[in-house]
Amino acid sequence: MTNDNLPVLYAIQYSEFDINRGAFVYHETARTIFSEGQNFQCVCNFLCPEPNLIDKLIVLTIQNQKLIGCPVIIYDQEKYKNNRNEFRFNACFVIPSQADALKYEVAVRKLAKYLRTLEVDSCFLTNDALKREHLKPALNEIVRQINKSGEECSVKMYTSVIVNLKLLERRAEPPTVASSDVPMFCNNIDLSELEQMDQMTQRVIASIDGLRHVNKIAQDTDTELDLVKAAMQNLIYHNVIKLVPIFSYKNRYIVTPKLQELYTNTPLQKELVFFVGRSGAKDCVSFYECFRMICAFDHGSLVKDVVNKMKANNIDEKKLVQYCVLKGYLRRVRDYRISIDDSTYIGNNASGPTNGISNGNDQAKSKIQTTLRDLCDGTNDSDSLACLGYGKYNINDRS
Amino acid sequence: MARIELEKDLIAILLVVESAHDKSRVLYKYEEIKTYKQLQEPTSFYTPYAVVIAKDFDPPSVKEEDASRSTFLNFDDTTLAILTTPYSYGSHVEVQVDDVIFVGHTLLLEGNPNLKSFAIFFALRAIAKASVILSYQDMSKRIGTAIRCEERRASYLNQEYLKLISVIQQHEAEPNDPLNRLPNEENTRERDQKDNNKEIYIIMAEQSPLAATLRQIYMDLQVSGEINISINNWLNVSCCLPHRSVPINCPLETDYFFNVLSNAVDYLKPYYGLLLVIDPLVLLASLPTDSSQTLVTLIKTVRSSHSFSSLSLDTGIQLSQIYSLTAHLLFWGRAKIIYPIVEDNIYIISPDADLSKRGSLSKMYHETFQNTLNYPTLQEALAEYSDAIAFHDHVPRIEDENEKHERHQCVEWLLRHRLLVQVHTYFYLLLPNDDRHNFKDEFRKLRLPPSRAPLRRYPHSTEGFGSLSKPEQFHLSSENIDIRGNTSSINGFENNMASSPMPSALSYGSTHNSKSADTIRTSNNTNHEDVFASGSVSSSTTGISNRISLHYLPQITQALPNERAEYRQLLASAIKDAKEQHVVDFLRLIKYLDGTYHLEEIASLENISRLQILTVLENFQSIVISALHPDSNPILQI
Repeated sequence: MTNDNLPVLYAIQYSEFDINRGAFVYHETARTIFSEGQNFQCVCNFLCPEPNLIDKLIVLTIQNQKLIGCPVIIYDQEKYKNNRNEFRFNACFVIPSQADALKYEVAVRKLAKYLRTLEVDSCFLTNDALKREHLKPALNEIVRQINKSGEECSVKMYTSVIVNLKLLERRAEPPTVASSDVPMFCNNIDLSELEQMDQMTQRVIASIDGLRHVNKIAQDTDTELDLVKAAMQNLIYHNVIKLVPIFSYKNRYIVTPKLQELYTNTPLQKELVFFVGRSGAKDCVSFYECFRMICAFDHGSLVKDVVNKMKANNIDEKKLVQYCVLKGYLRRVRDYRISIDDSTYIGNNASGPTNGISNGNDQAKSKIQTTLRDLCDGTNDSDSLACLGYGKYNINDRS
Repeated sequence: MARIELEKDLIAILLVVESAHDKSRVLYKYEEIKTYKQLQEPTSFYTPYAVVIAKDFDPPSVKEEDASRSTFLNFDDTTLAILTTPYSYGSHVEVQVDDVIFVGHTLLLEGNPNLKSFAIFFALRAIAKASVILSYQDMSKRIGTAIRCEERRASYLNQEYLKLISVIQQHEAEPNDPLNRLPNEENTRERDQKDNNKEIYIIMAEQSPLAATLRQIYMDLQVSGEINISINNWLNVSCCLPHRSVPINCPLETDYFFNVLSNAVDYLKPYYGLLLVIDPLVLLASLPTDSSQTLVTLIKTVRSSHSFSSLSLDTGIQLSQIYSLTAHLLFWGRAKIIYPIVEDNIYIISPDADLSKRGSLSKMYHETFQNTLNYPTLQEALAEYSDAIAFHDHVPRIEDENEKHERHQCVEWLLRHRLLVQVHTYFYLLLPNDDRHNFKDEFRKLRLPPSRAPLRRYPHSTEGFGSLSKPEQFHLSSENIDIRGNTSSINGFENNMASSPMPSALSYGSTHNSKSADTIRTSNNTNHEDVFASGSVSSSTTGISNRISLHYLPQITQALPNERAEYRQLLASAIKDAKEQHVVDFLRLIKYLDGTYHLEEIASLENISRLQILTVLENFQSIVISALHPDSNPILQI
């Protein structure tokens, strides 16, 4: 959505309400659509509005610009007795209409709060000299810094008051972490930041190797499973790791259309060949071999079949598969075993292509099978079954 | 479709007018309060794809979703009137207050004694996607334009305005004698006011057809996302919200598919086909009386095994017209774009298909296919597609026409519900020795800093590499080759010799000298690697000189005029052993070998059969890699 060519912030428009003049713009850092006479007449209702819109975030879109404001009214019978006992002002951000207004909400509200406090404490906004001397340059500086850094500013407004604003990108909720998911780093991480992380993360982050699943990490680090999951969700949110399915030589994968990207993009190819070499190798593998191997995953072949077929000894197939899944070149084809047998008796050999239940008829197994059959209703794939402890009863494939 | 979900984003519908002598005011609003009643079940967030929810993160609560509704309830009519004040006519209005967003399209009324302008506003949740907001705006514009037409024809709005205003005035006159009330009853009074307000809107809907129409619009949008109403019993208005017409299990982002839907014609290809999502007879019955006759013809003739081009031939409708009609059907969620169902197709189960036995799809399947013997349950039907094999390979036994028909219907049903995805064969041309993919230098620079352990074995390693003696250099490179694996080591000593001057970070001087010196030797080297890679080609080619190996170069230059000369040479040496006819065919296809065209697409573009293409490409297995994956065209996923 956001276009890189557009500035983050066009301008800040500071307006107030005067009993003689009505609403007027006191200062704006740049001319915008909203400063035009006619437009302003129309929007002044929002800018210095009725009491019932006080402290509400108001976003207004005209053409390709958006105005975000949070009107403030300060009531004081002593101070503003010449001004109907109140003082109304609004410091609005003018941004491109494509931008997400929610990103700016915190900053707009915070700026309003700063100005309000300054006004209550030291008449910052009603004293013309102060306003002229400090407010104007401060607003200009805020706009300049935010546009420069793209997200934050730290500007000295008046005496010891420093305004720190930050635009918050809205990120998607992290997905829920299943016990069978494997965390994998999606970027190189800076280990010097490790000490700043929380204890839980410090404990589990070393176990992330792209092969161990969450359940295993919890066991290896002797940590409670739910805490590990929470730590993983946190890392996902901060875009440190992503989740991939468990690697196994019995997995199937299929190529995705994203492969085309790899085919045309040289930096991605480089990243791939650097990553998938066996550890300790003195030379990187050839892209041709990697690409052939990736394309050999055709939904039907197991990883072991592909490895045997390609005979590319210098490619670490574990790394290749997990990397490609992480990058989205490959997609795991999941295995769902569904029991089609709806009768109450479960001892018989219910056959059918999806029915992968072991055909052992032992009495000892029957109890497990009861529950296993309930689990095989199309909602649990082989990974989650394995994590529930049914792995060994379930591994025989149709072969 | 199966899972009916109420429109979450829509909070209320408002009719706002600006009268000639008054400020603007809200004439009518409709918000459904009934649905707001707390249906608080014990919140168990069960999804089939998650095992446990981590404790730290609270699931998004029901309360949060209704937060904007309660924000809206707190606005009184004056506030609403201020918020919806027109500030520009004939353009979109979008105002957001906290978590409620108002969208509408203000229309100017000329020559009306009472009214200056009016607008239909929708109050939405502010977290609604940009495309959703856009489609509501569009809807407001359509309804508004229809009302304006009626106003011009029969001063409809004016009549309705007078009706509504009289209800309001009457209402205001009745309970508004605040003298009777004590100041401490303020709260109860407010509540009474609100109840009164609710009543007044009910009365309005009874007395004014326009108010009733607006209420109808709100309800229709909530339930189906489509409206089909007539304004003043005269003008028909029908439009739909595309994000509602596309089923929930569409994997695309709302904003993205809205964009795709709006420009659907650009995404259509002549070899795609059309699959109606609902019964054609029902669809025909639902069309308005003045609908296009071409559309009727199209719906009657469409078959899932026909492509657009054959449809065009059958019906005599131009392809461009078929495209726009298809785009229309897509927008309304009445059809789906597929690759025509033919016996060669390969289907796999969609990764997000709901396989659960107790799911609604399972039940629907059961109801639809009660009489089939072959696949009594959805799970069994889907199991057929567990392996990516061609459609005609599914049933080895000879089947009669009836069974075939049944199977066809089953596939249609599965496709319609997005349970199957079709995969195609794509081809990638990739030369084993293309130096654009050669990252060995960089790798070595990165991984082997000059002072690494193996180098220290040679005392003069740090400075002496420029004037490196021959045996030492050879030693190093052969070590490298061993690690590179059997590929080159099988090629034997001769090849090692050839590849020894390969640029390496360890031997700067020699690299620079040898690199420019011989292209001949490098290409010689590549020859050998080719022999190995292609495998099928006999090894008798050793010793063939460079000039012969490049004898296809002119043709290649003709086929790939924009490629680099080195690449063309590599390609020429790679295909030097193929037969002339094969090379001609291959060069004809070469522009499709970048992974963006699938087999069927190439066949239809070049007008040759699939088999022919496969035969041609079989001869070039070493440089053409095939991959099986779904078509990435987003229109197929809608």
